[in-house]
Amino acid sequence: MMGCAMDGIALALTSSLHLRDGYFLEASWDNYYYTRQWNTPPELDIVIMPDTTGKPGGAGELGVAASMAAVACAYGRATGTMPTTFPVNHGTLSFEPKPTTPPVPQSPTDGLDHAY
Amino acid sequence: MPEQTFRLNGEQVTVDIGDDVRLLWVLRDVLGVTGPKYGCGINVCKACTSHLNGRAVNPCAIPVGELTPTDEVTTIEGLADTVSADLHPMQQAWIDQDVAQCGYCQPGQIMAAVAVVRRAAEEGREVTDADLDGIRNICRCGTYVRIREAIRAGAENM
Repeated sequence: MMGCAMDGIALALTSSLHLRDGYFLEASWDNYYYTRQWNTPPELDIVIMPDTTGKPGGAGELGVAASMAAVACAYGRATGTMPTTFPVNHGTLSFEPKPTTPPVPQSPTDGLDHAY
Repeated sequence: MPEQTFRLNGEQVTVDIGDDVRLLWVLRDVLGVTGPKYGCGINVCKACTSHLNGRAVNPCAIPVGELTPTDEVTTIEGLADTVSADLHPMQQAWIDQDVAQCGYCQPGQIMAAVAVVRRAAEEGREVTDADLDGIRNICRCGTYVRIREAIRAGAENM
């Protein structure tokens, strides 16, 4: 359920693929904007309802649709415009696509500059 | 092939490999230390997060030739030894909070968490929401809330 909520946030706002000339432009986790710590809810309460059937069952990805809808409604309330296509940021390509032909970009070499 | 010498989890290691090979592949493919996970290879997913001289780094972006013989690399395998215990307090917190779902990103998450808590402690303060928001490590299972709870719990015992 926690993952469902994170998926719902991402699907409503930022996580999508752009298909152009047969290639997906997203080539990394920095292009495909899945939920990260900075847009994680500070509090999350998951309530498991009492069993009613006595039969085993699973929740699966039931929570994705509900949490996505909730985020979409919250976005609508916050901005005053109800979004009708998703994710709402899909129309803006906010990264430079990586090359679609070899050579594959090499791993960076500046790792020591980012120590913390 | 040039020789590369550095310290890994408390022991001196020497490998014959080119200067420009990134540390992640030296650790995983040459030395067989697979705690640092390969996720993206371009320093954006942070699954390989490990420590260099106690600070968090991403080995996929460090040419091994940049290490010196006294540089201490700590991976998740060597984290507990830094506190002379079976488990580091952050690892214990991870178990107590039942954080992992698939688990792939978790070594990197734990190493990042320890570095964030140490940085706050060095600055004489508690870990803040801003510190936690600044952790870039991706968890595709979406266990972010449990990760935050575990970091706060682990920090209390560090």
